[in-house]
Amino acid sequence: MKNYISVLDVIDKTVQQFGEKDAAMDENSSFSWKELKKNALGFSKAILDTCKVEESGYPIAVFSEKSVWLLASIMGINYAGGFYVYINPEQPAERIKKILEVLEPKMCLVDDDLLKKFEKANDNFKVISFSKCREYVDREDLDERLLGIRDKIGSTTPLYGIFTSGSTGVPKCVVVSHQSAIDFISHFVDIFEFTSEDVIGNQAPFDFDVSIKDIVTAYFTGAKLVLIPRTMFIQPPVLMDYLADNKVSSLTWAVSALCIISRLKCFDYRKLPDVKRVMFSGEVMPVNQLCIWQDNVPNARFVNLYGPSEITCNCTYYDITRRFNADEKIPLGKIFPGRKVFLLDENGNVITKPDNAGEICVTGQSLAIGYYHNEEQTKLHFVSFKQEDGSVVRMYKTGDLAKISEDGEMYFAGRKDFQIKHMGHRIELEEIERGINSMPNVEQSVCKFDFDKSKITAYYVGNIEKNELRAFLKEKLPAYMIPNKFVQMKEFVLNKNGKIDRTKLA
Amino acid sequence: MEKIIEILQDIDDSVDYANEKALIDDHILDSFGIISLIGELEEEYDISIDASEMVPANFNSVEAISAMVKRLQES
Repeated sequence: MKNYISVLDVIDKTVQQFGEKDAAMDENSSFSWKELKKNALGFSKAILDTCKVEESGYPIAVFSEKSVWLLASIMGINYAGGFYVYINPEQPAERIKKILEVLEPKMCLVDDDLLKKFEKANDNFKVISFSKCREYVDREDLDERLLGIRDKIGSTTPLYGIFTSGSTGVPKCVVVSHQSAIDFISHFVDIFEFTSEDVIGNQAPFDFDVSIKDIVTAYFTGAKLVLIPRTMFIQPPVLMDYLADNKVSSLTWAVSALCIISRLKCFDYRKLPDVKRVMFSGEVMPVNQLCIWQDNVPNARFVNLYGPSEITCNCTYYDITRRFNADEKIPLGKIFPGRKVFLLDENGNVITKPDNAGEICVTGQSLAIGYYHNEEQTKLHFVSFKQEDGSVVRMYKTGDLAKISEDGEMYFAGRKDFQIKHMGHRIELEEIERGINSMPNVEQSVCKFDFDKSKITAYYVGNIEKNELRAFLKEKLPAYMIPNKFVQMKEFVLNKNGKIDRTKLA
Repeated sequence: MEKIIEILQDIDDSVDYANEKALIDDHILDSFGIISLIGELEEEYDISIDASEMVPANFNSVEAISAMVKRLQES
């Protein structure tokens, strides 16, 4: 594979090779590769003209629904030397405020329809509307500045930031460099044989790093991106028509999104004859749902992907080449080239014996730069590790537990802490508890997650009605963090350490 | 109707279902809420709700849901 300094070199190559070919579409518009880049540079020029930046690697926030314009804006941020952080408009203003406080963006690009909504969350940072950015497309006087900043963009320059739930109640921003994305996606494209003929059905919102596997894979190959708006997931017939009519060939989706199609019997409505690749991550895939997919898309390649955002998308993959029984688990599979994945016990020793659970740790290519503006959490999770040969390398501790079984395969075995996966999202239960505890009249709370039913239950002590508490939380936390059930308690049973005894909650 | 409101309240009890007319159009119910709702309705009323029924018009209000359930029970 060619040596690319930055993802921009990858895009330039594809624009040159596939200029007139479709790059991306949404419900309303579509761009060829040439048009996409041209519009992206409009955003770049708007940023450079407004911010007067001299160096690369600064954060820019984007606030928009998913569209080809959103895609152009994030590409434009990168061409201007910045890294993009997509802020999902589904979140309540209070959480957006917290995100902006951590990020301190140089400026915010906001879709015109959402300007009012964004103003509710932002009073500190410069805002420029999408329509204003579009006016910059033909500003040739700024071409030179664009070239100037390009020289400052290197392989270690950050490409994007992804906010995830933080156990302290403050969301954390994982920042990933151009090099990490190039290293991972070049393996991804090779192993799963993506080509310019692929039509990628993008389900993941742009604040999930699953979207990187769609976007940067398209950059590499010239494949077409079909952007799927989230609202389609509550209208299955519209979704199935959209996928089938646009001849989508590849789905790299969250498990929860694939399960919407299988659970809602969407294949009875319409099949997806062009799909040849179905890859999933984010949660453990229920075998019965996988079987529905295998029955209905019999010729597709099915792949289980695993890995947190901190190691750039994924570190292992498992090709599913047979039918699984309901009581079987799907292995984590092979390790992507260029990295090591192993299990450490509580004393930091590598586990080699079968059936002993240990923490999944990752070294090598594609580790994230760290958590933006959060030295403390970065030091805690990205540590030094002394390898067998005595050399010391950087290592990310995932907090995920796994076991290597007798057959030599690695299987997921839960979490070390209170992080859960729910509706495709990574959630720290403590962030929900902090939200509940911030309600006046609530004395104490504990959240529990029922893995089998995929339900969060909040137990609380305090003089407040359940529905009031739920309404209050909706103002603070994204919908996927709102507990499914609230249980008011007289008091909590404490264990001998004086902490709430979680095992006594029913 | 009462039973449907009960099922909906189990999903989210901070919504005034009796008066809400745009459960889908205003994104009050998300995709995960719909999955739970469909499962509960199918079990409670012994019906099968096909994907083709899953259009906003059938789910925007308790009346609409109730009408759909009745229609499916009779067919």
